[in-house]
Amino acid sequence: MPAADISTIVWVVFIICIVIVIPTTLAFFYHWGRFAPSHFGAIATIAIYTVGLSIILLGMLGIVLTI
Amino acid sequence: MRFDDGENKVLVIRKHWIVFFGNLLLAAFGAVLPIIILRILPAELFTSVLPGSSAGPVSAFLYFVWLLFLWLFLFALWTLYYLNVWIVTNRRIIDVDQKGLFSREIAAARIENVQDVTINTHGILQTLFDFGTLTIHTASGSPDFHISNAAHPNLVRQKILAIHDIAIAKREPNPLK
Repeated sequence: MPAADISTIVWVVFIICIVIVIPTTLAFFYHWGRFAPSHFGAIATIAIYTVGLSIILLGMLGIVLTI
Repeated sequence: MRFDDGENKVLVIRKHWIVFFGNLLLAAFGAVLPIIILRILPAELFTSVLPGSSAGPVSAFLYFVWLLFLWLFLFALWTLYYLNVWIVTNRRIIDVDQKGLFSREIAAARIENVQDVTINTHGILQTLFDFGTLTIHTASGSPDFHISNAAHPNLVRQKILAIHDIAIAKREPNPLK
């Protein structure tokens, strides 16, 4: 398979991932902001989720840019 | 969660942490599974599909995609675990049943209407880690409150019955005194 095709496919997969992540993240934040019984639990969860998600997405972006 | 004036949160009951720990172990296994598979499968399998120079980065990218979905799945499970809760106040028992990200059921019963609290502990794991099924029977005619794998059910039962006794004593002062 040509390298240019692989790059396009990887970019498309990356964009699909972003499209899935955005509404899911908004749904998480909505639930934790509105229904969490404790502020500490909500803040800790949102912080851990965001840090993990950022690491994964930045890792993906780094690879996408190198292909 | 909003409480009435003079209503105080006394107890928050969740499923035992071991329930979520099982999911965490499963996710951790899921995270290392592709690495194990890559070790087992022959390297020629990838280089025959992808050009030699891009096989590594594409594999890494696919691994990150897998991690992303594991991460989302894990947090969906955590949300269900953490938001599925019983809140016992000095007046009510509130059962918040988080069935899905967009599916939620809330039921409440007055603490005076509690008739009985039943606990069921089965198996070695539940006995060792002190968790089990907790059921509250109420006099209001509404369905019983039920939480499976609740942490420290015996302690919770004692506390609920103690709060119930206090509520009854406040409502009906003893005429003989």
